[in-house]
Amino acid sequence: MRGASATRIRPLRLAVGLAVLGVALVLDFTLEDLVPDSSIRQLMTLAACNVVVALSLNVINGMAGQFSIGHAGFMGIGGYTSAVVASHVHHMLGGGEPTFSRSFVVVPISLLCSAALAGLFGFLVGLPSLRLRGDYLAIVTLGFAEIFRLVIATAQSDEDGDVFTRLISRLGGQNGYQGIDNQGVPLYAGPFWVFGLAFILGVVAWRIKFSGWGRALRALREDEIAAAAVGVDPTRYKVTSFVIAAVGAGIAGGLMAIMRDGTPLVNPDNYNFQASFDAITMVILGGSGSVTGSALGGVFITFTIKAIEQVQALDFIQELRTQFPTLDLNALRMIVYAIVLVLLMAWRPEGLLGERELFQRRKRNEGGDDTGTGTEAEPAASGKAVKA
Amino acid sequence: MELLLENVTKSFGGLRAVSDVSFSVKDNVIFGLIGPNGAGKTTVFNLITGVYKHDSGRITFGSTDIGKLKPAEIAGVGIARTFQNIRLFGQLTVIENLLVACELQKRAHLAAAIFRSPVHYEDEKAMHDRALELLRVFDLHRMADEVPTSLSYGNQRRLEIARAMMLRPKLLLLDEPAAGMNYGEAEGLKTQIRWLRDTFDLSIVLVEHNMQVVMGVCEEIHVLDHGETIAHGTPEEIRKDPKVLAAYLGEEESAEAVREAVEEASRPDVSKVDPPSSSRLAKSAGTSSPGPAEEAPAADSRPLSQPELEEISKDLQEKLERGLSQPDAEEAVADLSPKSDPPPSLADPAKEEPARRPTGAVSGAPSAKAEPKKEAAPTASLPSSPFVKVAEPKEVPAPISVPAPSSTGAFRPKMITQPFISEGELGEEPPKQTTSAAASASSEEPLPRTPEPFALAESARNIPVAPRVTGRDAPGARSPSAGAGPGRGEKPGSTKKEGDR
Repeated sequence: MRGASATRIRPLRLAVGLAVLGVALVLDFTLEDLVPDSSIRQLMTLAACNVVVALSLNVINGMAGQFSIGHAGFMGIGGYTSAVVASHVHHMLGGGEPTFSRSFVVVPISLLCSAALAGLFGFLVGLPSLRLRGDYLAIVTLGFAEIFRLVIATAQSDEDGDVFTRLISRLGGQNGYQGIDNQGVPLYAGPFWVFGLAFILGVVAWRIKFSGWGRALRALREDEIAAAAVGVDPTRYKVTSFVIAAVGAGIAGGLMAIMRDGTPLVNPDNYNFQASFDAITMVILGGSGSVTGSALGGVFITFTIKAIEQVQALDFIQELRTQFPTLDLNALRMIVYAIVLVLLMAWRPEGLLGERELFQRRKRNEGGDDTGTGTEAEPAASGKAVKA
Repeated sequence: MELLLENVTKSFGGLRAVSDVSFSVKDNVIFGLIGPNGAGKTTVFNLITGVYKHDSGRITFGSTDIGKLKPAEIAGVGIARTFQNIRLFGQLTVIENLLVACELQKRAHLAAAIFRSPVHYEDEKAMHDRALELLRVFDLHRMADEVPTSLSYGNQRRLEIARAMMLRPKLLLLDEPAAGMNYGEAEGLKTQIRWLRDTFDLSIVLVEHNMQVVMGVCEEIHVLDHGETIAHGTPEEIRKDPKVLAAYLGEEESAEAVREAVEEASRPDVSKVDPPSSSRLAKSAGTSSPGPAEEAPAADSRPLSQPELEEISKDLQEKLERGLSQPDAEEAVADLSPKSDPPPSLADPAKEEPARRPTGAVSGAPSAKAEPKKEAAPTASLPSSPFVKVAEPKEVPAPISVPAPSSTGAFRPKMITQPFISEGELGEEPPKQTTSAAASASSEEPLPRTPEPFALAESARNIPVAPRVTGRDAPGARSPSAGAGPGRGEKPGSTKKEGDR
């Protein structure tokens, strides 16, 4: 399928891509009718956002093999940035109800700002720590995420302080950011944006993986010295992949902050260590290094969280809670995760998919048969997974 | 480009691993870096490739000061290396291992890959073609989609070299390439190293403990001991250098003397196996079988020229006849094993090849042709002395094609040169093949055969250098796979196939 047709646009692929975007567009208008329960809608869009989270974390954790455990920090940067930018742009546009047509102004601007800022912080955090051995990245990213969260959460409104303090205190501190004059963050990102972006970013992640660049990352993960000896600069590749991961996290966080069925509020507690840990669980569960695996992990974890909440709402559990007030299934979730992860590590240490992909076509390089790379199949996976 | 080390020093804590070492590697030279264990050879490699930074001194490559560059940048300058303990990317397939080495050369960067621009496809295609090309050259193309961990040790070593060659290096650093190889494989390695140098037009620096390889292939040798230079010169000079003998070669040579003794002892058997070679045995002492031992005189006959070593060898021979009690002698026997039974080291490709061979009429004819060649080759190889090779690099290709018969040493070069035969070199094969086969069969003269390797090397020279831009057309890229047969007999078959297309 390569060779002569290599440089041509493949009509089928293009059609599939456009169809997915078309479906996302239709969903933007019909989802409310199709799924009347807003909590389910929220869950669906959240799942799509989490897919983006998992995809982005997969770039650095899965492909590059660098353990980052502060992904929530970049999500937080993205979330706050996009909430603030969206609020201000919305305000400039005259306020009112977020409309679909206006979202084409607000969403791209906010998400671009989120991505840029998260990417910048990714660079600042990654550059020093990735020059060192792998373990340092985990420590630094964890520290970074916590610092970010605590700086925002503990900010006191102090109009006499310096510029930085005043800016930070505008973000609402522990109560969260609720838009200009606490009117709430305008929720512009409808299903079109959320699902569409999840799909597009899935394709991007796929293409990163199946490019020379992704190959170099995997080589780097296998053997840094050998990779350097064949011209793959470890620092450059690791830092770039870390920035990509941060950008992805920024976009995901930004989407979460302004998604239509979400809450009009950005709270620092959304970006605590638990969020980072959830992201890692998604990647590891789905298959570290696998794009479709991470996407599946993102969907799966999202629904697991919801399922546990549903279980908690059961009368039976509520009755139990009256007897044992300390019973909190949400806290139990961590235990469930831990058990799942332990079992997974024992039986399937590479995750559900390992490094393989769904819909991956393998080509053979054998003999004299020159059919280029077969690992080229585009992932309809993430899109499908989102709508699952 | 010339690699130049000037007073390079490197210490690890209190240990001076490399102390004031200076040498230069000129263009197109096979340079040996030897010394006892812990002499600092690999450290020198690591300094050249930027894994370590030297404390003082200067390392330049051409006009570039590479002492301060990062390893990846040094790879970009044109210095490629292999590792003592093989370092392949275990979870990437064989071909992906090679493709990784293209990162510096490709034009398509990340954005191009994400948007799948035409440049990306062109790059991928060119890289793939080149990788497959190289895999064929190293006879690994049948394993292109396997993970390297499933490859045999020898194949892993070759894969590492292939990966290094993807960089289009001007200087190739081989860190103990013969480690773990048996005698026959080491012989094959020697011809491969020369072939690499001639075909790809590069310099090779070799760190190696195997004296058979070092003395046989290196044109210049630098000897380190405890991080310091103790000698520098041609293999002959190094052999005679008392310091070197004391520090290093003393043990080695006694080992070689033992090998010699063993060969002497096993001569009758070998001559039974391959009668034509017996005439040669008379001429060059210590040579037993045509292919693998073809190079051996270089290593073996030299010590003989020195009386004292002759004595040693006689001494050891006596011991040997009493019973191979000495560990050295046992080693030597192990070394010899491929001789009495040539096929083993070429066993794996040989077994695979028949299955993939073109069917029908093709397979019939070549086997018939193979017969005369087999007999012709040993005699043809007679005049080529290893000493000539050392003195005159231009003569080198000759032995490459010559050791054609079923011997181990001969096999590898065969499969290496063959991919390029089809490169237009053999336009309409059948007639040409028959003539050359007939010529070699009818007469003992090496003349019709020797020019051939030159031509091959010449045509081959263009291949690795250019392919990225041009992209190989189907027949050119395909044919080598068919050509990578184990024996000379395969060649006509593959070329015929080529001609048919």
